[in-house]
Amino acid sequence: MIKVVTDSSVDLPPDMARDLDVTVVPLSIHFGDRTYIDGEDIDATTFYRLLRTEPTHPRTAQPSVGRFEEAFRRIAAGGHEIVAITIASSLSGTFNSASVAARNVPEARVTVVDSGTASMAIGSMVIRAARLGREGQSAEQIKAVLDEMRPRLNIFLLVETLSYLQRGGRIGRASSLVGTLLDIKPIITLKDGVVTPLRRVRTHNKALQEIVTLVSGDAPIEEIYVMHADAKAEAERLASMLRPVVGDIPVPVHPLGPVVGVHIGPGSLGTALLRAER
Amino acid sequence: MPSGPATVEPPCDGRRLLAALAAASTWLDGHRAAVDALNVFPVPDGDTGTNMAMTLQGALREARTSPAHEAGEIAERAAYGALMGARGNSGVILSQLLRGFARALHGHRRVGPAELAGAFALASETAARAVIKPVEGTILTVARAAAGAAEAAAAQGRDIAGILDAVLDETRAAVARTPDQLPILKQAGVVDAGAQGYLMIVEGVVRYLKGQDLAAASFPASTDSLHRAQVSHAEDYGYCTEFVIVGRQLDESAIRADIAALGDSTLVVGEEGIVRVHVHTDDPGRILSYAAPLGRLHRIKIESMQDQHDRFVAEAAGSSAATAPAEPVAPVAPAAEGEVGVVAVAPGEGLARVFRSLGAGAVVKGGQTMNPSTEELLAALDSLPQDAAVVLPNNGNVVLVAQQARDHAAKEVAVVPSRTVPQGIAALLAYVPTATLEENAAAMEEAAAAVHTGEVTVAVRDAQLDGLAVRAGEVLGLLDGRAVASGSDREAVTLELIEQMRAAGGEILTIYFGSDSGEAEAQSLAQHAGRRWPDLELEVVDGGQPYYPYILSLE
Repeated sequence: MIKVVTDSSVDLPPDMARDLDVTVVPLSIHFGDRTYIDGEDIDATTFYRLLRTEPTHPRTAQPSVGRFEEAFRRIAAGGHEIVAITIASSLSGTFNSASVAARNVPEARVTVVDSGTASMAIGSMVIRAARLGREGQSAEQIKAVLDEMRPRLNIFLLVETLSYLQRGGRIGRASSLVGTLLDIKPIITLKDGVVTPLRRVRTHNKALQEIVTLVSGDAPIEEIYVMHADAKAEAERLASMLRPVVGDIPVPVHPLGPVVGVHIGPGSLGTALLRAER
Repeated sequence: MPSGPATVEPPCDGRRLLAALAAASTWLDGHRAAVDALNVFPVPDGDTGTNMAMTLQGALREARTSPAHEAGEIAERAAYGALMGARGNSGVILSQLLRGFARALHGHRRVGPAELAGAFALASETAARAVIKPVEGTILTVARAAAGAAEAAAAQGRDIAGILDAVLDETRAAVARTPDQLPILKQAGVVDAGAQGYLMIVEGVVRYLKGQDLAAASFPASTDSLHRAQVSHAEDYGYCTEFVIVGRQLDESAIRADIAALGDSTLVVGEEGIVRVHVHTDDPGRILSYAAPLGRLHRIKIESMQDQHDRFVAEAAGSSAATAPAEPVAPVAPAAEGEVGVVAVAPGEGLARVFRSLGAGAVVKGGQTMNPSTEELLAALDSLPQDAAVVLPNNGNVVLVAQQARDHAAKEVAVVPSRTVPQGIAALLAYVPTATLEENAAAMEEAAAAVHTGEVTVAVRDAQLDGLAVRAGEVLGLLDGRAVASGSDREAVTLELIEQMRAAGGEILTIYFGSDSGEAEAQSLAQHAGRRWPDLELEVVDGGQPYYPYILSLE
């Protein structure tokens, strides 16, 4: 049976990962010279507390090749093949670590898939792959499904400030949003794995409305998730604004983990969605 | 061309056409201030006289570069010069008049009576096509009347001089009729400014033909040239006071003597019915009280000499009407991305910076009259690396010029007809460099239409506007171009304006302060607004615009 491995940027709730028997390989968060392992000695709550108290700006680092090798060997020992789905290779070296590890553990028969995206958009792929694995689908079949899903995934993120993206080096095309002499709330997305500006609005409220408009533009929707970086109340508000627009599907609210949190900053919120097949 | 016993008149070839054009330009330029004073809306910008004069100067400059002697050639050069130099809506219409005139004369070495009448007719038709919704009681009405007179005179067998005399008479009558055709003119007590400008041009040509003096009644071409003459000995730090008196039986020398007794550096210039006064005094009120009973006071300007001195020392060169050339600026977004660029017109340096920071690849500064020429917009469009571009005029008086630039640009251009700065900024926020020109134009137009603009300025004369009685020198508050508040206190009028703007809703109020208010005053205004409306988000931005101490948007 196929088992799924992913990295901790996926923001999959731990109980969901357990239920689906998905292995999450953690990235690390660095505050100054202190290292925290995502999901092991740091979680979202601790992270946002540290963000407020630590003097130095945090950085993230991809999982070592060794950690992937370890995970692959353990699963292979149970007689399973592996599909490993990682954060976009354009955003992190995690895909590289996983690919090298896969080559080093040939008996594990690992298929490494570059999600091309981040956060719960990866989550959507991981959940689908895990379910198909349970049904006994092969790695090739699962990969084909993921390739078909990828163009149907979309992310809309409202950031409080662009400075986290800037400092983390992932600002991409959104650099054009920096330095505006008016207070602008930017809505960004990922296009070909690169952070891209989508809309510019003047107020927080208008930004939420704009996200709802963008989601409507992608209707009909198969799956949707609302994510937030230490902004639960606003995320619930966005979720309630989205419910009338997405039909009968659930609109769960997930906290963004430290990895994404480092790069977009607290107060950010947004949505990841999977468009329905036409 | 002497008037006298009937003689065979000299042929009107290119040389004489050029001389007539030069005469018209001189005469119009000499009266530009008087035409400016006819501006219906009592606000200090959008000067028809200045715009038409500068457009005609552009025509003359270009015509002079032609080595040709054929009338058709000269006319075509003049039309091209007017096209490039057109400023403001009135400048564009004038350039269309010249275009029609030139097309009628195409291929002709000389202009005979029939050709002249045909030229007036085609000029009128061509200009009428330039305006989407032509209104009676404007320059177009007068141009049509003039064409009718020209054709009638030619049919009667009159010669060139005779035709032009008939045109002049009919033009004068048509100008005098404009207040009956357009109620706002009657309400303001003026004839239409553009129509008056047309009259000045015809008058100039006739004066040339009759060998009459063209310089006798010229006012100083611009107020700033007056100021510059005084600034060199600005030890007295009183008030530079200037105004125009329009009235009957004005005794220019008596006025000059009286005013000279009340201040220094007196300059009084007059012609029938209009006297221009410029004086330095510590008590401007006294001067105004003296002049007010003599007639209507227009274009009242009172400025602290210290301020003027500081300003002119800072801006060492350039005439009053010089406009900053288009500034080719590297686009904010990576140039490789995006097929569509943006040219924005900004009335102040601060606003230019805002537009650039929001992604405008080139910003054209409008200058004192806030009216760039076709040429300046074309240069800005050329400076962009993209093959397509959107133009944001950000001023109702620049829209036609922008459309003219679009029609003559090498690249694909769409004009998003923003009539105010806030509309332009909202449009720019909707700009997506990687979308197509059509997508951008549609989204930007939609964004611009959703914004309400507040403007605070000073009334340059008494007026009845939208049911509001406004006194000269009072603060005037405009909401989307409608007068909604007036009074003597700038902050009070501005707060009243904001109150009215709130009727349409909005969460964030942006206050762009201009050179007449400044940061400290703007922050104080923001504080008071914040206390009065605690739910409102406030942003204060240095716009640097002249004439409008505050431009406001509520979104």
